[in-house]
Amino acid sequence: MTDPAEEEIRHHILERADALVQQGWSRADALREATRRFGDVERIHHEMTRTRRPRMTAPLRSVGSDVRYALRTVRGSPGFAVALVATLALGIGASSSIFAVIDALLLRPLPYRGADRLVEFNHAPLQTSGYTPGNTATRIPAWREVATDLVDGWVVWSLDRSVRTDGQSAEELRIVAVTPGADRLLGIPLLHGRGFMPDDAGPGSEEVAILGRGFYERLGSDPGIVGRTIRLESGPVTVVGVLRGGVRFPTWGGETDLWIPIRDDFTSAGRPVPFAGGFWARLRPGVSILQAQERVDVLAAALQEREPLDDGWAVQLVPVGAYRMSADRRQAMWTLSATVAAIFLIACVNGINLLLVRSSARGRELGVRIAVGGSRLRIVRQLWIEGLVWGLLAGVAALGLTVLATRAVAAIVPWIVLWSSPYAIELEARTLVFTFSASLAVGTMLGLVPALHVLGERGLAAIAGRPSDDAPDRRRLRTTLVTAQVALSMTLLAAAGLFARSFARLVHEDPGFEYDRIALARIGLSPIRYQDGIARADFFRRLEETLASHARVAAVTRADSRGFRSGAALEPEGGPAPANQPYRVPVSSVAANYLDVMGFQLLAGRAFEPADANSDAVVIDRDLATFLWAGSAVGRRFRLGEDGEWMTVVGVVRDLRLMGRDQREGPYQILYPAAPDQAGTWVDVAVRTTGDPAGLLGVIREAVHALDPEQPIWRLSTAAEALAEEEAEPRFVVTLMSLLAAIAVALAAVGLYGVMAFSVARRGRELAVRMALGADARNVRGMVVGEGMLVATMGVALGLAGALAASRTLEQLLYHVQPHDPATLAMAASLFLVIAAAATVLPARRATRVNPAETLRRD
Amino acid sequence: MHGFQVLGWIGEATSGELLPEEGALYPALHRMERRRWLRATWGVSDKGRRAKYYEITTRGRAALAKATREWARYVNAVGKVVIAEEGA
Repeated sequence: MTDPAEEEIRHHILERADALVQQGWSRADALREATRRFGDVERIHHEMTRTRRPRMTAPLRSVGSDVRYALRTVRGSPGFAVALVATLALGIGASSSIFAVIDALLLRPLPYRGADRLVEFNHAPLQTSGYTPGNTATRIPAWREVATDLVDGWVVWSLDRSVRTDGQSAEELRIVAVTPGADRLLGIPLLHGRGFMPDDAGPGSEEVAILGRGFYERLGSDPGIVGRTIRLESGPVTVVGVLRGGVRFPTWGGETDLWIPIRDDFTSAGRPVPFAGGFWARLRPGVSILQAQERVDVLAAALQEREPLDDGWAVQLVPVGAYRMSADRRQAMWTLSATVAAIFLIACVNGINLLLVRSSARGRELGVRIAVGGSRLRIVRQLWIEGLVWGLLAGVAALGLTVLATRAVAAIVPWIVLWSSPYAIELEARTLVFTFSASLAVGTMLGLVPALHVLGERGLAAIAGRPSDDAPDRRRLRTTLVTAQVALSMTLLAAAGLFARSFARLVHEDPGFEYDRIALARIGLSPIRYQDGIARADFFRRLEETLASHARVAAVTRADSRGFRSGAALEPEGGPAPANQPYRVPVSSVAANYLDVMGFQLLAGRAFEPADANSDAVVIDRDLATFLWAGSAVGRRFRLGEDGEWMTVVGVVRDLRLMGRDQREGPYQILYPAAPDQAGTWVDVAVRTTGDPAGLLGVIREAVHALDPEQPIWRLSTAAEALAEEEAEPRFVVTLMSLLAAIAVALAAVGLYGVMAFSVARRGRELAVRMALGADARNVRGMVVGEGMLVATMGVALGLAGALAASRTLEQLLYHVQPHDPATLAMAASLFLVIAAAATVLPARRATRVNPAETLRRD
Repeated sequence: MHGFQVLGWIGEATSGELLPEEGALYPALHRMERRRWLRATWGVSDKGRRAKYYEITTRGRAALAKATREWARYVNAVGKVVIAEEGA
């Protein structure tokens, strides 16, 4: 025997066993009972020997043994461990995967060098009405000249498109025209070759290009491509470099295929730069955006005197990251984060409750340790370390969940959401750090809440050996926690219900035309090979003839792709412009047969006739007619803005939802008659079939190819697919919200079940007495269920209040549903109460299955 | 007294109310030994087993007297509170 502590323990157990044998126990039973009464041998041994170790390392070693002790308790009760870890992992995993999404879309700094000093020069009108001109080419050199003391670098860029062709087939390319030096200034890495040099922008230099990574790979990943030429519709360009990829530039617009330089005369590929893009400056270190704005205001005033063009405009400096996400989407993101935060809390509360239930047996032990002089700090530390061990175990499990969930979310996230993101959604270091921190936070809560509780408990009660787990304050804590949990998940369920209802409204909204018979092709004719509207119209006339001759095609029509009129007030003739003007009005010019072929429902007046071309005739939707006039609209005139042309309404259709079913981008719509011999650069060709429109897609592709093999089609789909794409974003939000709400409700139900089951188990004696005294099973069951339902009902009421409190936030995300929609809220509440009832009935049934005689004898 | 005897004595004195887990006694004994409130020696029990015997020291008596005073004050204070509450 080398270990005195062990010998002492052994001595004690033998002595106790002797005593038991004398009382009539068998030797084997006596030994087993003596060991049981002694308690946790390992831990006691550890506490006896702990402080004998050398002073310096003692704290560390005892942390180690606390960890070992915690791990032993995990191994000791695997069922409990699985339940606790699974609950916590669900909470951590859900938060981590949503964090991965929000981080990529919103939080992670832009992937550019000095990103926090990058500002965009944003020209905004001084009046609310008016047309934003963007950054004109003439203005940029002036800015570059005057602001050098504020700014240490400039990037001007513009999105463009072009077509690469080998004469047989054509490929549409996304192009960024950008000023030389952008890669170096922004720190965008190259895989091969070089970036653009100032010489590349000089007069008479050859046309050069840098390949995007994806395009480079499509061309065969041959580094020898540097120095060779590829043929674009604008002519041959020499490849000088290849981007390494992984960094998107600009921040939105998806993958870029090709960079071309913006020349000093603000042309690219032989054409003036259209400036649909950005004008970025990097502020010098130490220059704040406010300082810069002050100077820019002064400079803008001077520029305006020099150039009357600037009259009525202000320049606003906006951090480049500010455009990362629209306000609507930001709102949706914050709603999602609030949701996962709630789930995280619910999971933690569940974990704490489980531990509280389990640790009630330990409450006495800890009470005694405090009473006999055990260090409180030491006890707190031990509980904390135990909590941390649980938290980290859950973190490891959550990591697996996060990997799967992030992949799943990345698979269903609509492209339109990613379109504005500089990053793809994937698991990366920041998410791992988040998962780890969340585990630590969970562990700390898990350890400290029970610790504070144990320490707060009256030591006397613990020593007196009263079953402290049923002490009123402990029960109150558990009930409070469960009520909070139910309330949080009820709020989530209500929100998810509202989202689901809103989405159902959205997809059941009649888009106003017979979309299930239509195939759509969006074609942007090359401005180089089709230089004017007449040439373009000729192309489309021939395409329509080819298509119309096909057996399955019933009719063909076209519309110039939709555009907007913004900033001008809608004004009826002879009357004032109504209030509540829309932010912008979608407009489109359409062929004479458009309404007929698409199947729009005419409410009044007539469809367009060929004679309407070049007249002031328009067709509007019912909503716009009601907005402008009380009575009939046909034959009346209105205009857009004080200097707009008067338009005469010839027809009113029921709904014109060319924007997709969700109209928030513009509630009213105006159709103009297109001149048959003119066409815009972007045209939607709509083909109506008698059968399934999906079968027509190949026909359209072949017809375009036959007419012009170098002309790609920008987008080709059935009208139903195009509508579904517009719904992709709300569908995504609804899917996530419903999933998260389901998790929350499940966790809350488990929590409710756990607490009720525990309460029934603890009160076995009381229930047995009641039943022995003649209470029948139904009464007892009713009592237990009633108690559970009281908690659930309180939680539901609080949760509904929470949902109402959040209604302002929700309102902006809902479509045609009020955030206090009584039917939805009532349904969510009933659903929750049914689930809660199920969670309490099980323990209640167990309560009545006890045999009173047995229970009473046992105690 | 060795540990088991101490436990037996506590059990008699408190009618078994104090220690839910018998082993919980030992870390306390060891702590008091480290503070030199107790002196321990290994001996052989009347049953012929090797056992560790504890004995209170002068320091231990002083500490006990101090703790007893504090405890009495505490119980007294708590008693007043409880009685005041019941009377209210």
